[in-house]
Amino acid sequence: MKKLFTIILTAVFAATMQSALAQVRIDITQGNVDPMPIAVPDFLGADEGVAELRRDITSVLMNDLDRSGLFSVIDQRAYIEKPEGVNVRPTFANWRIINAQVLVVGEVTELSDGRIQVATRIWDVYSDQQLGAVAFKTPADNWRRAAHKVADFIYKTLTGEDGYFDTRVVFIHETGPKEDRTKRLMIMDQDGANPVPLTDGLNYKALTPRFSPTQQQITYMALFDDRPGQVYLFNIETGEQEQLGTFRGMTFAPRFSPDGRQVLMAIERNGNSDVFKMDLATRRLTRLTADPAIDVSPSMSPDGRRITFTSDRGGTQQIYVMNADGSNQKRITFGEGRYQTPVWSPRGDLIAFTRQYNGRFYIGVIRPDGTGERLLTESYLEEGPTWSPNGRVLMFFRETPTRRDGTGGGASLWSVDLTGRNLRRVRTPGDASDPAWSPLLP
Amino acid sequence: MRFGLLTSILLHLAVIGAAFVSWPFLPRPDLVSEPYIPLELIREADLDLKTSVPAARPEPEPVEEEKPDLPEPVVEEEPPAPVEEKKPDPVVEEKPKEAPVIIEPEKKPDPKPTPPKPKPKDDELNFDDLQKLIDKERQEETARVVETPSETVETADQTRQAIGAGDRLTASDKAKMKAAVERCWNAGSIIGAPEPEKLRVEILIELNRDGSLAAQPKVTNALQINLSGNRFWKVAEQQALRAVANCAPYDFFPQDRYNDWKSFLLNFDPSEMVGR
Repeated sequence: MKKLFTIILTAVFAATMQSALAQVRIDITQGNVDPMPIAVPDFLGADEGVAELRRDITSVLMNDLDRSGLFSVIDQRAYIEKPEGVNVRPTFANWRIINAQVLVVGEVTELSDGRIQVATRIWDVYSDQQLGAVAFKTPADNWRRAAHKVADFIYKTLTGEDGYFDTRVVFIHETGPKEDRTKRLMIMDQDGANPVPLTDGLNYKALTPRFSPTQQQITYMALFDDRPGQVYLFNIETGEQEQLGTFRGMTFAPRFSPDGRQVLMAIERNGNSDVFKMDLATRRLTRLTADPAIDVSPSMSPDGRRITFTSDRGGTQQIYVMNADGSNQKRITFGEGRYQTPVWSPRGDLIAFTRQYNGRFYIGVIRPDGTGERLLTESYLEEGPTWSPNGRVLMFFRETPTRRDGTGGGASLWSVDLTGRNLRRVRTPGDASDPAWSPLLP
Repeated sequence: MRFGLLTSILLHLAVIGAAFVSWPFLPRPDLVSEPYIPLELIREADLDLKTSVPAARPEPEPVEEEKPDLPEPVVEEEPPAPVEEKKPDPVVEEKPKEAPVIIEPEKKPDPKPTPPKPKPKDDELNFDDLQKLIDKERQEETARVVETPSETVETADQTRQAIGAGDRLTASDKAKMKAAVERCWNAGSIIGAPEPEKLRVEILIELNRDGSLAAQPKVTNALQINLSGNRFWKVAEQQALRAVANCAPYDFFPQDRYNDWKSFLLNFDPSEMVGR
């Protein structure tokens, strides 16, 4: 009996070792970073009422996927098969021929209550399997959001992280000559569609809007001709605006905490500025730094435990990290030049910043422990990075130098992937600066 | 006795368990990328032709005329050497029956002008017939090889097996495989994930003789990936599986060493791409 056992065990062990040793092991270390080829045929739809709509939805979806830089939508003229329906299994060989890795089949139908239903199925062309399916019902005039939601679903299915297409961006719309610019708050979809002014008729000198991570609400510092800069709250849905207390000095660089219940800001008194935290429910203000140097631009980590800010206490403006109560302040950047506007990623793994060095401006990222600094973009003047809600993309603004003849000097919005790839200009109606990215819409 | 047996079983199980658990986590050597160096192979036969052609060509006219010609550029001291060098040509002419037989068929049109004429002595052995004979034999040989390729290959495999199977793929074969899979590995979304260096995926693939996948690839660390709850890791797993499927067939390995490349353990490791 015992012998039998020993024999069996030895055999099992030997077989395990044998199979482990038999294969040739190869390390695959250098993948390509080309966008994944994806086929998106026009959404189907038999109802006459949705004939236009199904093409519009497909177009918005294709634009979202293409702009992400992670997918490359194959030209529809190359398709050799027309999907028969969202519930019909496609002939995968026909999609393999055109090198599509993923196929998206969608259908738009009119519902009896006047709304539309947008159904989508995602197929993995090489494994002949369905990767996911989703359907949204929405009023017909809300088709654009339905398209963004489908794009978000595809993005999440293929990358593992939430998308950012069904989001909006608040920015400063600038008009007029450079010396006397009129600035007003404007909001638009992340792809530049539907721009709407939020503050008309007010003549701001400067504005720094920041989105609440939990609500359709923004906070901003506004500077007018006749009073010191103050921090305001603005409800996008109702248009209501309120000043966050009245302080002796100037309050600026406000930013919401990740739970949306507090606002961090800097308050300047007698030439010195420090970081404060205000509870929105009680309006109680707590001082977090008390250094004679200039401490500004606070931003809280998504777990609410730490805060990053900039300070010139070391001689030049550098990035620091401290606990949420103000303790354990540590400097994390030591590079030449000046570091500004640190923003903690919603994912928590990186802090984005603006760096000014040798007459140039850079947008970069660094880990909260101060390691792995990477500069992603560079230009004559660029600043104010804001994270997409999934922590994958950064939007910022650039200004071009003013030429002698007075031309140039315009500001525009740009986005870049956190890997430094896929730098793109964001479509805006005219000059734009200081973008603030919203959370995913509910 | 019973206690001893129980202890023995438990200890054995513990050893096996430890092997299963720790095997994938054993420290691995640092990754060193082997660059893929493409090589152009020249068949021996091609080389033969190339060397034999110039040897056979110069024969015709030059032989006699060269003596007066050469002296002009090379000056007086040199002439003797070239004269001797040219001598081999007539040698070729004289020994056509043995060696040149193989060369002649291709050269047929060239040598015609002069050399073939000195040979009339051997005419009893009709040269054209001989050539046809050789051609025919060659064709038959080729036909035989085409008809029975698998037999030949299998015999070769068996012999190798008898000697002892093992990892006998050359560095170049491994580099080819690495380059092929890397070309299809779309890592764009992985390198932007948090802590991408941790998203390692190990896939076991088995190949048919034609290089196609013989079975569904197996993710050997699938349990670890699923237990982690890390959705980025899950996506990395899908991307690696997609790369393996996209790149098939892997039809660049030598048929006679099928045993050496019929299965691979592919370790998709993004750490080098993110500089960690």
